[in-house]
Amino acid sequence: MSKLTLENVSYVYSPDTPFEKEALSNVSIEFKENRITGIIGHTGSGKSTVAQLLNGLLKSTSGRVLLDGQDIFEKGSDVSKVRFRVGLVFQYPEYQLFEETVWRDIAFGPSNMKLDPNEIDRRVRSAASFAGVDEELFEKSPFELSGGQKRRVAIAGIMAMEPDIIVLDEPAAGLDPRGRDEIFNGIKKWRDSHNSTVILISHSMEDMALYADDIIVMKDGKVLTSGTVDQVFQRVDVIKQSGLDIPQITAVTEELTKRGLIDGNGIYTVDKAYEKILEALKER
Amino acid sequence: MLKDITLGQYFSGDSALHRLDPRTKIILVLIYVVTVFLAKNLFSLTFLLVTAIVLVALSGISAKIVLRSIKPVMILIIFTAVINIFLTTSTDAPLINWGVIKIYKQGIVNAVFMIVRILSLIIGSSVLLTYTTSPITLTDGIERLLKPLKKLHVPVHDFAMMMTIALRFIPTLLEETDKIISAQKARGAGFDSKGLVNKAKAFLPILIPLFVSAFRRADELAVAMECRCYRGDEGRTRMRVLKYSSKDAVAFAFSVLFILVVVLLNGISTALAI
Repeated sequence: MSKLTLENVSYVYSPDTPFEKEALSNVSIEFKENRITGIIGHTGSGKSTVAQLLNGLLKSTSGRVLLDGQDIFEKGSDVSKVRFRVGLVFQYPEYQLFEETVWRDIAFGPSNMKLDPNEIDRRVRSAASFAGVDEELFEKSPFELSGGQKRRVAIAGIMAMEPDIIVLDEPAAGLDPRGRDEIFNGIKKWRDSHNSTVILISHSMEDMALYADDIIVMKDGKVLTSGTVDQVFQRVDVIKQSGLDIPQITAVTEELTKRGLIDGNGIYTVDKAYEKILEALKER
Repeated sequence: MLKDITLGQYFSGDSALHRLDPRTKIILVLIYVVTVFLAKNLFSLTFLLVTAIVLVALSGISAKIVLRSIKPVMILIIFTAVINIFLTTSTDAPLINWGVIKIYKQGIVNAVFMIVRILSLIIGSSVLLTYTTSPITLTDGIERLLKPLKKLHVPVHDFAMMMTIALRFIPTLLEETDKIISAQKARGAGFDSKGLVNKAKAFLPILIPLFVSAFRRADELAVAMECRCYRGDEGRTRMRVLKYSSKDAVAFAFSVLFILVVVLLNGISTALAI
């Protein structure tokens, strides 16, 4: 269990050039342990920058990233150790596969940690099962697999490092609804069995409503609002203001509420909407 | 990181040099390069340097950027200068005589000449061509200039297309490399291992995905081109039709003047020497 905190973090791309661009300005976030926190925002809101700051791939221009209260760039500390503790799954991670076999690709991270071979094998098998990679595929080349399978192998590659915190940047981008559900459920199961913190980065409010516990809404490099999923969905106008689409079911219930048919603000699941509509019908 | 590498180094703008026809600029650069090596005395070399500075001024590109472009070749310049200073021998008495090391006046003169030559070569040609001509326009120009070779069955168009595509994909692949490096770093890949074999091995996690994605992109591009009925040169029209204008005539006139002045200045010194 580890605690990750951003403290007044700003990040500027290509400083002192004509292309200078401030991606984050004075952002402070505290990621709650053991929970799935969703960072959501429109393209260019700075959410992917946050991901790379969390494991020290980028160094903040000002402010600090704290892991268990310690600055990850503090003198004498080894940033590569931070990367083993904060696992980061990039967007479209299937493009980083390179090994001859699926097993070896998943084992790349744990091997870099210099673990003993039995432990590596255990971790590979365990991670593969959470990510939904069949053991039959272990001896295949990763390049023979389908897109969805590749994605799962890549996610397993990070899970196999058994980080305390796992950050996933758009893990379901480009997948069909079924592939998406499988990946998110795998992540949820992994969190439950490892007691770890999960940070999901996405632009889909729909996915967030289903899988996140807490949500941070970002816009133009700033935190617009944050809180539990319930709290954030009470502020639908803020979500819209950040340029994001609200889930369809939220749009429907919002319209029904506006017309005085039901009393349901901030509904984001079909079940809840079903309940409310039934309630309203009974009252008639 | 990798993105800071500027290849092609085109700076968009609307100066007199930007507006010249690319073919004119290619020919002018060739003339310029030849003339740089024609110049052989103080007067003509000074004139060269002045010309280079005038070209920078004409291009509207800040001197700072131009100076920055010289930095990478600084080592080469210093190296050439040092070699010239120490290895030139002449019949007059050496200026410095430390046993094996003898430095002659002629050596220092040669070194200075060499420095001026290289500097004006780099500044002149980069300002004339790479800084003020976008890579695509440049390839267009090359294709048109090489067109006569088609009669000899040289696939000029195909070469030009290959070059255009290659140039187009440099930034894309750089960005991709950056991403892959970050992704492998996140998996604990170390690029600071010791020994040549280990170092090479450490780059496999970058090279393999990079090659895979390059082939994938090539495949996709080929399909996309075929879908739009690309069949090579035959019957193909252009979006930008190159056209000579009066500006180009002026540029050519100046270049003739430039050669004449250099030749003349070369002559002056011979006259003075006599």
